[in-house]
Amino acid sequence: MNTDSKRRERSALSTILSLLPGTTWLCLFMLAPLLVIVLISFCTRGDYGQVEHVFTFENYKRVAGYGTFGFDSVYPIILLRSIWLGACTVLLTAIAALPLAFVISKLPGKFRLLGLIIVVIPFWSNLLVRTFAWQMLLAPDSTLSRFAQWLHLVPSGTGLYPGSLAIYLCMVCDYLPFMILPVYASVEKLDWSLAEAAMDLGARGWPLFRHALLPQIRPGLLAGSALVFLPATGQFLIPDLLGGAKTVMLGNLLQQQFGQSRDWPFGSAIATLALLLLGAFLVLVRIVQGNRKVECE
Amino acid sequence: MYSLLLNETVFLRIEGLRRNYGSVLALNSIDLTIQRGEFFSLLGPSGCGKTTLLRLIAGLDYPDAGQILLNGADLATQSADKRPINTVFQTYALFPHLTIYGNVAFGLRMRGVHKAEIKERVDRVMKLVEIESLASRKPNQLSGGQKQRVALARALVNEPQILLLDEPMAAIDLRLRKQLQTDLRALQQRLGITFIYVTHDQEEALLMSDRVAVMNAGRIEQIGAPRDIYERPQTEFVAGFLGSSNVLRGRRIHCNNQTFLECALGRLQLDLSSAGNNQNDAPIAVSIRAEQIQFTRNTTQPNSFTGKVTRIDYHGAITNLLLQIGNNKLLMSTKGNEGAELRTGFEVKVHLPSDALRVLTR
Repeated sequence: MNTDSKRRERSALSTILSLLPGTTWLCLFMLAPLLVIVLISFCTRGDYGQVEHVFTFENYKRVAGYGTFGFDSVYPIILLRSIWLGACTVLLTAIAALPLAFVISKLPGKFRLLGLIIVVIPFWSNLLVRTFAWQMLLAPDSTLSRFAQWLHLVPSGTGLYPGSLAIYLCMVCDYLPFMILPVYASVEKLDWSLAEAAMDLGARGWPLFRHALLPQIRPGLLAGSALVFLPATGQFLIPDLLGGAKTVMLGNLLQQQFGQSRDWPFGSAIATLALLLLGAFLVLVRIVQGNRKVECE
Repeated sequence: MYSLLLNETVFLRIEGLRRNYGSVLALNSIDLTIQRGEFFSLLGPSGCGKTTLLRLIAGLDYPDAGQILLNGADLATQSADKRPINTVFQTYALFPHLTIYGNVAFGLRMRGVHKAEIKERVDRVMKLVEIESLASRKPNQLSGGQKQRVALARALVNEPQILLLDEPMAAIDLRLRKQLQTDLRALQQRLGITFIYVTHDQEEALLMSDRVAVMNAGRIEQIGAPRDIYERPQTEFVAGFLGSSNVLRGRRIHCNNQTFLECALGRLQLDLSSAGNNQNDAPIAVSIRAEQIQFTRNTTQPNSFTGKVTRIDYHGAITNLLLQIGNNKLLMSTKGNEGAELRTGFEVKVHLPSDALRVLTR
């Protein structure tokens, strides 16, 4: 055997060895449990909440709305409500992040870093603490609520919390950093000569943004959307604490199944389905990112 | 509307144009008149303000003082999207998400031109610059030369009154550049559109332009036809920037109806036509091009000197010699085989013809 192929063999071996710890970790503690969840989702719940190894599609049927007494929309609605919450959060954070990213990127050097730090600072405190802080800020006798009462936006004596305004306010504040960091990264390295070319050719306003800037920011927006959508869809703490604990979300439905209800097979079915849906969303993002539509009119 | 205006005498007049960035004066009171149908070049080293001037004309930047008048109307209040002027950018700035057709059609679409007319005009201009086969490609699939043509087509399709070109050859390799320069000049002459061309390449400016403005440090040093600025430089900067020149400083001596330069080399006889005023003993500077210095056998001839060759740089078509005459250095260019037998240390006799000595104004 010559030295060259020996060296190649050795480098292949070292590649495998260096990948081994991470791969083992992922297989043991992520892939295997996921597989178990998928398997359990096809099992039956026993009378005392134990998992019985009897194969069934019943759990998936329940999620899809086949109830004991005909169609039952409660679970599909919970799923849709969570997706709706995630989608709205993506939209709102994108709308908030775009102008902010432009403003920060136009700041002089040292203020740019400061701007980003200010955006990320809320991250440094606990989600629960932040959510309770919003409860106080939006309570009936808070300054903000009084102001809203004075403007007759809400009846006197009522606060801005609980309600959907409080939910979305908190969601945007919590998920904005996930959106703004990738968006800012793409705004910062924008090629402004494209904007100048568009202006030179008679574009201004929306067409200018649409043709010269948006194609360059799109990768950042898509990455931010994925980062916001996935956790926002699973979010239940904020709707619970700020929405008045009236609505069930994907997150608390799941937690219920593995907790109080002791229905692991049903919980596993929900988890598997949610995983598939979010995976489909990621695939969609990839497709949008990969295929820039040929625009030729 | 534009084609109607083109029949009249369209011209651009720039008066007292000034632009500063903070404390840096990028443009210092520029006055300029450009005729309709002219190929006008702005030539200068990087940072001389030529691109700033171009951006002010395009409307991508606004002046701190002065006026830009097109057909007598001030452009200063119009934004870039309203001016009948288009630009070919140095990096071409093609829209990466649009096809070549989409790129060329962009300007017309923004102006709300009817779809059928867009198709007709885009097809015509793409045929003109020979890119009709690229219509459905994306910019990242094109070579540098092809991108340049697309950028040109994208600007020309709008039938601008003035086309601005910001160093469009910078990204093209040398061999292709020569061809594109001739093509571009031919295209301009055929279309009769006013071109304002920014370049730092003197050869390019001389080859293509009707007139050239040489710029330095935010000012225009000299404006003239290529032959004018090359053969009759008025300032030391122009003499030094175009080709290789020697600048000799000294005093003007006037006697026996003849004007002389008294300098470190000795006494040089000047041509009367270039000698300017007759004020005696005034400090003056004179330039002579390296290729205008000649070998001679006759040292009794006026303006002749003996010098030692201290360096030989062979460039193929020309050879540059650095001569030491007394304490002075003189750069001389020879063509072809002339002086092929010379080695460093050799003594040569050279002649500086008086009609090649140009008195500089500053």
